[in-house]
Amino acid sequence: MAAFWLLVWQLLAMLVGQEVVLSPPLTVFRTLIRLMGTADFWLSLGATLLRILLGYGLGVLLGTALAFVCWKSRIARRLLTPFMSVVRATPVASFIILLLFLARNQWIPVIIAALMVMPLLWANCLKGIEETDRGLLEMGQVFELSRGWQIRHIYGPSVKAFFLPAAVTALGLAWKAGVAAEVLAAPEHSVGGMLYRAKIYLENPEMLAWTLCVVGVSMGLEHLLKRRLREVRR
Amino acid sequence: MMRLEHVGKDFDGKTVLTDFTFLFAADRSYLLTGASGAGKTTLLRLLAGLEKPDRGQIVRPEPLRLRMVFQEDRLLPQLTVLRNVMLETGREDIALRLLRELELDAEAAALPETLSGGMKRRAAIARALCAQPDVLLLDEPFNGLDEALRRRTAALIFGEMRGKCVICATHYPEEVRAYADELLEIRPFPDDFPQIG
Repeated sequence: MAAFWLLVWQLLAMLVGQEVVLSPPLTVFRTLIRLMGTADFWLSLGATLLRILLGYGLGVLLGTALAFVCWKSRIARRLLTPFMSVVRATPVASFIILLLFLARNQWIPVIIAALMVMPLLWANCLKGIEETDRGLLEMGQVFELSRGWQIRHIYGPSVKAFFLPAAVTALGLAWKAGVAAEVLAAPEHSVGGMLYRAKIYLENPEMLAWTLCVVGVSMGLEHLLKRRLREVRR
Repeated sequence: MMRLEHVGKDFDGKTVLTDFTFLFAADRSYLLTGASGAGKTTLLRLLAGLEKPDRGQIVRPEPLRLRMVFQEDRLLPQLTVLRNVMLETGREDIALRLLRELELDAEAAALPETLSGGMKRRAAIARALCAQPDVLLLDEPFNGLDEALRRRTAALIFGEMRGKCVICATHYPEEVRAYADELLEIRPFPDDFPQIG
């Protein structure tokens, strides 16, 4: 299947006939291997990973915590529901441009990743809590099971069923939005910054090589998270 | 022990119980009968504290160890049968004995989803008995059990609860009649005063 798409890419590149517009796969892979031999590549990739994973973690924590707050407090829910809707509906570019005036370049991808993740986790955790089996909750009440026990054994499995798929989807969102934020904010040592530089200097093979790298890391992270979540489910 | 004084309950504007007054004694067994929709489950839920009366009051001594077998099994799907049964007390010895008596010992390590309807029913009964309550509420406990199992299960329930209070609503009154001290027939509104036999 991969061979088919590589062939399509090669044919398109031949059709365009200009490397500066669309480089063929072989040139791009050669460029990627060359980049991988430099310290700058690993530094940029490491820093980007760190920023996005930090933002992802923050988004997961905030989304989950706020879901519990909204479950306990109607006022909090009334206040936060429109806020989360606005965050979800606002184009990521608007947030990035706004943050260019408000935050340091290094932190913009972190905040953007967190903003992408938080509403998704919030909505799914809240749904998980609300869709907890009422029959089991009544059983817990009649059997005088402690609140902690009920959270672990009754609410927990229900929330988990909504939380885990949302966590996987959110990781992809965080990665894409975080790299986009880096392109505009261009913090030091960043994959997004490298993409921007390649675009400025019309380095199409380099730009595609970084894109391949972004796609590869995204798929790798998703695979790792899915595997970890499968273990948690068991 | 548990006193209901002029208790009334409505659901969506429809009166289910209108004026129910009764004293449940701590050491007696009660068989609730009545047509479907007469209010048997509502009465049990009121006694369990799962519903609040719209009128009148329910006086319960505190603390009161009250447990219930619900109309649905309400077993935790991720826990084994044994862990479901001993979830409250942690008493594995009692749980295993009850499972043996209810012919479920071979399924102790199984998850509820692998059990038949009748097995789940017995597991729910074992869970309630394992809690060693002072008051046991039973809402259709024999659903899904054949006649022989119904008889053996009833004998176990009332044997375990001897000297304590059992309030049982069932469509199989013949299994309980021998053990019940009192028969309460609940009639639908407007004639829902208990008929004590």
